[in-house]
Amino acid sequence: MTATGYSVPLIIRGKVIEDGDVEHGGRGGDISFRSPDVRRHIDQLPLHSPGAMADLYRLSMEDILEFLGALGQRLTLEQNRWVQQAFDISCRTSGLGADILRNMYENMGSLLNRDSLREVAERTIGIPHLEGWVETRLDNGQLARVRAFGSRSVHIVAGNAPGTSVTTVARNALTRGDAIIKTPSNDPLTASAVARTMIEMAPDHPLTKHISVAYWKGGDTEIEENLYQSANIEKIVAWGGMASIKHIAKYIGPGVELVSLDPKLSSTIIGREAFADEATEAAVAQLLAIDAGGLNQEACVNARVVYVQSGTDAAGIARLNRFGERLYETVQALPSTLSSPAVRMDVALADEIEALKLGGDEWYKVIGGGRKGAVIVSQDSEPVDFARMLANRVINLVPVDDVDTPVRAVTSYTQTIGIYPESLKRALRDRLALQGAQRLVTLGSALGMANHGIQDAIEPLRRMCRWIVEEETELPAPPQAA
Amino acid sequence: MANVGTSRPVDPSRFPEHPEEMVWQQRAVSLSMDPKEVERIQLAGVRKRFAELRPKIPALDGLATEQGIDEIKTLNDAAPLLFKHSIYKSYPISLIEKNRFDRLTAWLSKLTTCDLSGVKTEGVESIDDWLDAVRRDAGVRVMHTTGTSGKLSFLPRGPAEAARQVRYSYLPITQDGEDDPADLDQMPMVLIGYRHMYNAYGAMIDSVVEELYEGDESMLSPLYPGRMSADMVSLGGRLSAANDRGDRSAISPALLARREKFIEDQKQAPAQRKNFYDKVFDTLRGKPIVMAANWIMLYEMMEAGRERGLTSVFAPESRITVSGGTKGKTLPEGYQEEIRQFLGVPRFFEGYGMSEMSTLMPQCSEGKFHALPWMIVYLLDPETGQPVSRNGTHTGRFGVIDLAQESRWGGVLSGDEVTMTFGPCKCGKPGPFVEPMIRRFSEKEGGDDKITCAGAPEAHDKALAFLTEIE
Repeated sequence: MTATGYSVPLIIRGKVIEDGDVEHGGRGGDISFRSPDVRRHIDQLPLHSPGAMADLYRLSMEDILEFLGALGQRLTLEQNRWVQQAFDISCRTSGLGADILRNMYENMGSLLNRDSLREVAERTIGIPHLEGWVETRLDNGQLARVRAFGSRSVHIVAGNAPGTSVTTVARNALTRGDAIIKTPSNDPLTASAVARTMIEMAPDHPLTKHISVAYWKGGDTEIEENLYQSANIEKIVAWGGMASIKHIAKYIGPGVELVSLDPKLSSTIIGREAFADEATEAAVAQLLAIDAGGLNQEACVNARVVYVQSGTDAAGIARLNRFGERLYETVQALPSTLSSPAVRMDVALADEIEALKLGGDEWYKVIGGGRKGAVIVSQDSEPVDFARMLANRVINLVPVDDVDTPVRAVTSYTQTIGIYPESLKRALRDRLALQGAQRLVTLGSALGMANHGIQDAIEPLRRMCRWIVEEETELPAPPQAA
Repeated sequence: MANVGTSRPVDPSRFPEHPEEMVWQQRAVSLSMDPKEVERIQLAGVRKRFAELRPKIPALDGLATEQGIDEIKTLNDAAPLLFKHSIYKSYPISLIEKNRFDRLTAWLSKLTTCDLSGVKTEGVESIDDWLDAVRRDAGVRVMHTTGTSGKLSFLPRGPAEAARQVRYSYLPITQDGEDDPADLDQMPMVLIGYRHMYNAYGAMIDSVVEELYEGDESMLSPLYPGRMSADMVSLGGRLSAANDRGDRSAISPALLARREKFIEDQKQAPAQRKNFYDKVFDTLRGKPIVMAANWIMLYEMMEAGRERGLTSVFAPESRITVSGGTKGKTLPEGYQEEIRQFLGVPRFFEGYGMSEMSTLMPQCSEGKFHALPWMIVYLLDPETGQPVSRNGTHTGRFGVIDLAQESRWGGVLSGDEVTMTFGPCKCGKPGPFVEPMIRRFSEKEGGDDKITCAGAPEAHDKALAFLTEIE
């Protein structure tokens, strides 16, 4: 079932180009859309003169925050037709249910909340560094004055949630950059909805004039070789997509830096305290259900493999099997604005689960299956072999006797780890960090996005800046001629 | 007598009770049988297989129970009984890491009627050892696939199927309309691979040498004389996945050491390849040969031959099967025609199928792949799993119940999206037949230009590259 008739514009610094030169998709995806041929406009797409970013420096941080706050007010599903269109197309491409998406699009403006963005800017970079030259005297007496400048960047955004596009616009504004957002085929319109709203709101505003949004098929060498040059850009900020990141890597070289928000998976560690009493167990199941089942397990932050210190003897396995039943029911009861049965079944994953039921029942107990999702309880301390495919609300509970097993399983692909109880989190945090984990959270809060600005073990906002130093050195007076 | 493996007299009245005997029927006859008659035989055949295998194969009993199926009134009634192809890799890979081959044997016994209780696994420390043990102690040849994740599927083949192996192998290399060839025992075989392999192709090679060539190894020209190690095939994918995770801890030092030796052995490969081409071009020049390969292999052969100034190297009646794409490599435009000219063979054979099936569905003069009458082919809606009606043209997920399988359940659902027609083909034969455009569902899911922040399964691409090099 292919939906056609969508038109995706090319937006270059306030100018909207709507020629439908090229047809995209319709091959295996669920939508097809037309967009202008980026090749025909490639000369205009990059900001050739970096000096043209000077207009951004006539804005104060408060000007920027005010603009973003006002933009956020306008990004509403009820009144903004561009947002409505983006929502409509996302309903056809996304793995998220319509209620979840509606909730996300209704609230996307809140990502531009003035106070919260001020906190992000202050905590990650420090507003003085964004507003001017911050002076320090070094031990040798030299003066160093440092300022964070914006950069010309291509942002390759992920399409599994609209928030990435909004966040990208915000980060570009806070750092005073010039962004070219390359949209994905699973969300070709959200970024342009934001840009079009900016154009309607203030067509000549410097922030509007430093956002471009383009769709081309990722990997198009003619476009990418032309664009990804140090004369045109300083950075490429890439979200997710292993193939996409590997592809981009070949353009990285002197003058072009990659800020990579790699594709990741997340997990959970639950200590034996979860089984202290009936009420605690129920509460833990509820928290885990949110981490794993929220947003349909489409995001990198979602729990997938869950290590539980239930014990691996017969009593421990029986305990975990009961917990699995409870977890399955709890996931099924999540509200539709947070979680839904699979919109799009992953056939390969469904096959693996069916095969386990018949051939692997000695090692795995499968609760549920099909569109509703499943809980797979490993009957020994090994996750399923297809752990990296887990999606569609399929959760793998793995029993352990001690927490060494889950610590060893952590790698640099592990993004978020939800941990219960808090004391276990603090006890394990150094070891988990050394193993490669990047974010340790209170169980039940994996989906939240706190304002510390840390992501995937880097600080993307700092990385988006060019850190410039002015040094002042008192040199000894040149020797006088006798 | 030499052709004992390729032909045998048949009695069509026995087909409903013994659908596997259709295998011996002339291929041209099989492909032109009246569809109504085929349906009658297939319905009787599937009932018989279900009745005899359900009590002996626990996984089939489990599926039938879950689906609530106790009797089969129409062919489509049996569609819920297709095993997902992943069932043949539903064991935990940790059994291999931990040398628990006893438990792997127990797992496999749930999928076959063959008695595996006598298989001795003491001292077995590798997949290769285990494959040997099962063959030695139970007479069952386990065929492995080359799973890109490093997890291999294991397909047990019992003695009944083994006796038909040569016949299976030759079905797809008969010209449309011609009588089954009688001179195959005179045609030497060029093997672009290892002499000993435990995949489906290797099983075929062994049967051909034994039955058709009566043990005469000189009829066979293998690229590599040794054995393709299943452990190395598996390790390639596992290492690649482990590297991408930054974690090699699950892979035993012993296996890593074997890998070092394997890599050392690989250093001889260029010399072996040179010897192979020298020998093939010297001794088989102008002769009719049998060969199976993919386009990349054939292209390399062409390059080797051109260095030696050769063209039209084999007799035009040679029987060459070509399969697969170009595995991600780009070959120059017109390469297929160049290869045909170099080899001197105007037509190659192609087939469609999967390792789980007895043989491939042969290609007709119109380029379509026709089901043989012992294959009950299905097309399922990928979303609902419901079979489409058995008339007209549909696109969906390909499944089959292969009635020639006697020691395991022949029902299997592929991961392929195909377009299939239940009805007559332009070639004049009745069908059903499959269009040549075939796509894996996994490609469809990952296709286009979608980007999400989650996951890292693309490690598989690298594993595949590794496998291609050692195959």
